[in-house]
Amino acid sequence: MYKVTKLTIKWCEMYIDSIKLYPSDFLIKSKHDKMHASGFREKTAEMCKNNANTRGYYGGSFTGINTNRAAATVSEEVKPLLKDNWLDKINKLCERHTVIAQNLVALVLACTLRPLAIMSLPGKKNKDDKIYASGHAISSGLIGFGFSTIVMYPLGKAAAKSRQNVTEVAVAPLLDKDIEGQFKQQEAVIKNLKNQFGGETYDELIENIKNNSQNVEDDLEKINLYKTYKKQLKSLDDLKKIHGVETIEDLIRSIKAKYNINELKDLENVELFKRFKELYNVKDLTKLEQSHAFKMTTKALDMAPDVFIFGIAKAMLTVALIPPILKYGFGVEKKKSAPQPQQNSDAAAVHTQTVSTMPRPEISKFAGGLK
Amino acid sequence: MNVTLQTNNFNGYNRNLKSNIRNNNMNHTPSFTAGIGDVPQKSKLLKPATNVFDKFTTWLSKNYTDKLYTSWLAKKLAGQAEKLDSVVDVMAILGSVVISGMYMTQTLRNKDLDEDRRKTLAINQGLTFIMATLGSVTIDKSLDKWWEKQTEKYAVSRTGDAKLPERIKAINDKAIKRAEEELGKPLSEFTKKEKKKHLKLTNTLKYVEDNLENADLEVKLKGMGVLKKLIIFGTVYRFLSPVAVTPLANMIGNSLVAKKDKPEKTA
Repeated sequence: MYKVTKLTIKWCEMYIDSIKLYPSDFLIKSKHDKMHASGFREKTAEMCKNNANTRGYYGGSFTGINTNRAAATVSEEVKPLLKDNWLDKINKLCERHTVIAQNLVALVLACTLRPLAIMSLPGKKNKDDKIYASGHAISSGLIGFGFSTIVMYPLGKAAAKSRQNVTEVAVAPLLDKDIEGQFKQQEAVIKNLKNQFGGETYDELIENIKNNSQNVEDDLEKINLYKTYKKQLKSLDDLKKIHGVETIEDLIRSIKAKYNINELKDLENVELFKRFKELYNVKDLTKLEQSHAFKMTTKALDMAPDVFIFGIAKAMLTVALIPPILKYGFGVEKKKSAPQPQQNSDAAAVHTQTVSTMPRPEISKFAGGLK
Repeated sequence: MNVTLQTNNFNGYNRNLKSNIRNNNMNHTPSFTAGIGDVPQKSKLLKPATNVFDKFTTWLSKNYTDKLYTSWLAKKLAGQAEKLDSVVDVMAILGSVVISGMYMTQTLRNKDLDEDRRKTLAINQGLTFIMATLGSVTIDKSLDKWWEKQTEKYAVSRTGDAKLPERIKAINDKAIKRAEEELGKPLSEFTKKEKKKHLKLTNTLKYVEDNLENADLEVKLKGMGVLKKLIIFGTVYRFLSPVAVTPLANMIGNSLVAKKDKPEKTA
């Protein structure tokens, strides 16, 4: 028996590279201490049977056993986070920081395609003009992206926080009740409905209810209620994270402190929410978050500063950045009276909305129009 | 018989052997966190800076966004925005209106140019804007179906549910059938108004919103819609318009004004 065990261990060693770091007498010592314990022997034999397990001999390295265990510990929420590829990231940026994404698209276009197109356009224009036009395009791309990122990122974060207030007020009425208990009840109701009418997805279930149920409206309302609960339960988790609390009681305390109120239902009387309710024409504050008007308006307002206000500042910065780009990018110094090629002036039109108050002569030159 | 005490202390590792055995035997498998534990955490080094940033954004949200969302402007917008499907394209067009408008006014006010030329230029700028806008809206619409297919594929890859397109199609087929029964004529004879009123088709985003509890995917799919508009409007306004549309607009502008002496060259 002893020999067999020893042989087994030797065989195992072929698969273990990390064991080399350990003294050779470790195995022998292990044998003395542990080998006669039956549990240990069984484990050893079992490990040698399984290739993946064999590698797990030294717990703590990147091993089969442990990887499996680790995989089991990754929560469902973390998995998609780990898997996000570039498209996921871009999509998230587009949705959460639309203005920055917009300027990123512009950056790519202005720094690659446009200079390429301008430089390769056949025409009578001389090379300097083309270089200047390319320099302008690159400059506008860089300034647009840089400025928007620096200015719009904090604004985007602030907007997210404002929306969070709206989520808070939507979830608040449920906090006093036993939301998780109620959710479980709802879950049971939906399970019953699914058993009764059949259907894998909600759409199928709704379809089946519409066709077969006697109380169509009641049943559909049950599904709506369940979905609302589910969403709110999710926002509840987010809120807990944002407030840095773990229990619902703490969350209630935190919200009360934030708005300086004694009861959660007093949220209805907070001036901000009163205005929200009136402005977006919702009966119930819990409906505000889902209101189409609210979603669209806030998105438009989030984008507005970049579109309407910062354009002028960007135009000025763009012009200021052209000389260094020409100097370091193309190795030319701008001539005093460089004539503007046609594309350039129109390209400039998009970025340099020239205002009469602008003091820079270069801008009026752009604005002076097509040559 | 000589009895020697076996101290067995040749190796340095032996000194800690007892604890080593405990940690290295097969019964002990410490949980493995490499890869998962390495998900970037918030930097402690930058904590003071992030704290300041956090306070700043909270201040901004209280003093800027909260106020903006409840301002008279929001009130005006709320009425209009309700009818919109998407804001991104509207904002892109509005931005272009502002920029082109300013540019045109500037040209018309420019005293260095004679009056006719000013007009020609202003018309050119206006035409460029109109053509670019029409172009981007047309391209945007024509790519709707193709993009929806890409979105479907994307959703399939993210959910791992290969039957997703079939399910969406089944829902839409039923909706079409119902609409056809309601109006008593085939889909091809529907007018635009009837389509809008009676036919509510499901797209990938709506399906995911309605049937899957996956907030993360919802954000990504919404972003996918935004991405399309950003690319199309961005390309047209910032690339095609200055490089390709301008010369065309110049030609039309010139023929419109029909001046004898050509005031400008076309590219």
